[in-house]
Amino acid sequence: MTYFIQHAQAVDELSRELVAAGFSPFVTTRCDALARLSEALDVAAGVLTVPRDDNAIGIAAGVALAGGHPAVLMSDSGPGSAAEAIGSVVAPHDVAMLFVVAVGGPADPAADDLPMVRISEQVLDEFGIASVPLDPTRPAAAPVAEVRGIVRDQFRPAALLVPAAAFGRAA
Amino acid sequence: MNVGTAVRAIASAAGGRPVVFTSGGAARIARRLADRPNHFYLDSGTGLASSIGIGVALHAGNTTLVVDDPDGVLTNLAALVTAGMLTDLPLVHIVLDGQPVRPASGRADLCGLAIAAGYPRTYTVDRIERLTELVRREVVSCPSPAFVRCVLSDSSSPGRARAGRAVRTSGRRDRPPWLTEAA
Repeated sequence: MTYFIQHAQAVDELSRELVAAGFSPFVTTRCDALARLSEALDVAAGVLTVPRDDNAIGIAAGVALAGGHPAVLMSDSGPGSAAEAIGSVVAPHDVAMLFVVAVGGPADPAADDLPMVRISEQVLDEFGIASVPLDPTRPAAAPVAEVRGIVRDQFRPAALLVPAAAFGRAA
Repeated sequence: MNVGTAVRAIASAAGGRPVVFTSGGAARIARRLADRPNHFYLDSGTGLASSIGIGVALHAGNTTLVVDDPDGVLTNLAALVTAGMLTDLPLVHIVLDGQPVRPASGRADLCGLAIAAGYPRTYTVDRIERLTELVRREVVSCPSPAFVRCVLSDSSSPGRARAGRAVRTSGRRDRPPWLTEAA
């Protein structure tokens, strides 16, 4: 099986699992690092694409406060650039929502991005948002079930960390 | 109309509909004067009230009110654009504005921004009766996002009373040296 087909199957599988776990709506900024996942989710359930990560988080928080189970798709620098939204809304109110965060980025990320990536990791950690890594070579069901349990059963925010190489725009 | 009377009028006319208050004066006053279970108060995160209101309206599908201030609108223009593109979103975005519009002095035209962002309906109200009537009408039927600039005639607007500390808004000594040099 080719690398491309493996990744296409991983994208479809993760999309299916997220929808089956009851996450909706999916909110994203225009994020190349999760473009293929975003396209698959858009076909399966619809994706709301909006400007700015903090706006996306605010919208998802509103959905969660109204009783929904939203997920926000963002790049690896997203949590860092939206630290205020996470720190002032999600963390203090324990807003039960899912962050799907691309990690890894391109093989040779721009040096300018690296501090934001490091800040993003610290933001998730600092605000106590549980992070669950996803391995695209293994079934997505287990990590999705884990984040579902945190968000929907424990009513806490969680982050699913997915490799950008498998779910982002093909080079 | 001042911020207190405006907040009371909105809280009363909203009935049980969700109301999201921006951080600052409006939230403090609403908590003290008109607290209700359908209220959500932001303690910080300037500008995020409108994003949260969009999310609530998306999920609830019923009229959702956001009580914002000019700083909040200008901080998060992305939310303005988002609401503008969601043409059937039942969102009433109320901005308590204690500052007169003076485009020549650099003061933003908030309704103009909302129109440019795509809000199909904008209103400017300066009387409490008109505000009450408008909110009551939107609670019954809100077919699309509405932007309401609520003109306050009292200086106790949220934009001027931030967390009890005085903020100097003029004076060259407050400017960084490079700006002073350039001015």
